[in-house]
Amino acid sequence: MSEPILTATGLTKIFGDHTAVDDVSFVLPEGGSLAIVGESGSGKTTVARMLTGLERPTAGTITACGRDRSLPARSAGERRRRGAEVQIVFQDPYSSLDPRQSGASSIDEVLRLHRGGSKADRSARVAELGGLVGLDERQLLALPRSLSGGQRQRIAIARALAAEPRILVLDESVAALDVSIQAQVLNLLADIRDATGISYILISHDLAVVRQLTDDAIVMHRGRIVEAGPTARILDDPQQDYTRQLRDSVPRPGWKPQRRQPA
Amino acid sequence: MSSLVEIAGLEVDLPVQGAMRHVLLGTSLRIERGESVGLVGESGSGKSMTARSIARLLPDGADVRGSILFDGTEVTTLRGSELRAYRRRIAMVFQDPRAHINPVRSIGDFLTEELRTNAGVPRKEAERRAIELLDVVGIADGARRLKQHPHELSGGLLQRVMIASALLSEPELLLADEPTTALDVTTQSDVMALLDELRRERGLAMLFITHDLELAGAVCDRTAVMYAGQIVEEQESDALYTDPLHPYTAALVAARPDIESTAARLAAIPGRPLSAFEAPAGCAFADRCPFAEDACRAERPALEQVDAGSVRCLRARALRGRLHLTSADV
Repeated sequence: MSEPILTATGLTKIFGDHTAVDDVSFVLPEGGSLAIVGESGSGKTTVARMLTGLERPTAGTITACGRDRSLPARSAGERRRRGAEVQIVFQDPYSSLDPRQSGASSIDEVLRLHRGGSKADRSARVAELGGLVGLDERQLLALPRSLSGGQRQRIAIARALAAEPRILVLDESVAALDVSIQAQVLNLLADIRDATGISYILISHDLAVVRQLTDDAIVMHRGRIVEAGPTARILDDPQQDYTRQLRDSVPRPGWKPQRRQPA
Repeated sequence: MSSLVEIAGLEVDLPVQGAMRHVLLGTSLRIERGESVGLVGESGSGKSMTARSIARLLPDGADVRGSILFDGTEVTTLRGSELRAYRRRIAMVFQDPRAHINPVRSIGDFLTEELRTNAGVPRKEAERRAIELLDVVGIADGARRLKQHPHELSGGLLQRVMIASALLSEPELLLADEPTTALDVTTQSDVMALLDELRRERGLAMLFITHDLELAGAVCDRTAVMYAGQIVEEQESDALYTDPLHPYTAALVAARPDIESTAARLAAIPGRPLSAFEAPAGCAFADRCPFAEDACRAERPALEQVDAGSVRCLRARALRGRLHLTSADV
């Protein structure tokens, strides 16, 4: 296995008297794809927020691209460098884009900040990124309100890729998309990974999506990791009761919903 | 005896920024007493508008043509006390319970309001019945819950409260609009099992709206698939997988990632789902369909009977039996 591009060790986050994330450790190999699976309240989104510097860990360390990022950045330059290493795509493309800014302009802003170059270079790169996520010039110049959910999510992905990150955190990024569009975006993410060697952290509750996109997975429950391993093994042969319960709750042909024992 | 619900040629236009816009283009659907029917489709397909039409909950200014018969009575023209009486025979559960409950009133107020104000039941008696019903939906400490407010309950608990409130007036038809979409999978399984059990015990008919074909298949006797304001296929739920009649149904099944295996590439459907107002003159799915011919773009196909189901596709008979293979093979 190649050198890990991201390592989290003993990651813990305490809000007041609530422990949201409790001693979570994992490694992401370079070019790998890791799923963080869990239900609401499992702490998976808090992990994503700590990886991207939106939350400061109470304890534990995060190392990305060989550098520690457990503490807040001390300078603008350091903050920018971290931004160029790890980018995030959020769940809801309706609230994660500026409603008054076209896709082209929001991608250009990231290019200006992280990559520089002349106006002509940048606009060529915007078109290139648009092509990579399947958006034409007209769609790139449109405001988010005249785009569909799938198109908006493509803008969000293109904007994240503009910084040329080594790691992309996908926080339920395909959950809000229609089935036919979700398949397009999942294929797109696989293509981008093949083309750029980028590594993914996929935060998701959807086990079928997790199976499609990731090599390894950790299952979180109430802030702790309950099971970790290759995605295929976890889904085909879950070792823990909680993982099994998750697996059995997924509707499929012949499935019957089960009453849980009253809490 | 007539069906409980019979929708025929339902067309709905809604005012959007001053202009009328089509949202339903001739929907026809039948629900028998005690039957559960799934209504599946992507965003903008018109599934929620179909349920809202039945519940008479369309926005002001909606233009409705066609007919909705409930137990033999035309629903679209009901007014005043007749409309109120009709609404007691149906109930609706929505996707986001928090958006449909008053956050500053207690659960007790919410559950007993209808009984106290409309049926004149004394508060003590109404509360007793509410606690009984909370017990039925799996909330054991009902007396304590009645005093709580919506923000003190989790999404799953609150959706159970909504189901309890839907059952209070002992309706004959439950309209469930994505009732579990906002819930975790384990909670979804629990709430669906509860709905299914209650429905069977009470002989309640259900129209279950979802974007999840697998979920509809698991809890519905029959499932209808909607696209661009029309039903394109309707048949027994299991057959949607083994013997789909419409290319769109087959494509939806194929596009979904599988929990049991990783596909080299998902069979994505090109383009994006259309809303009714964007639908072209011919078949609305033609531009995304691998089987489309010139004739498909020329005329809008009618809903045709095929064995126990119905389908809206000119090529349905020619394609029968080939659709559940992946569309990439053809």
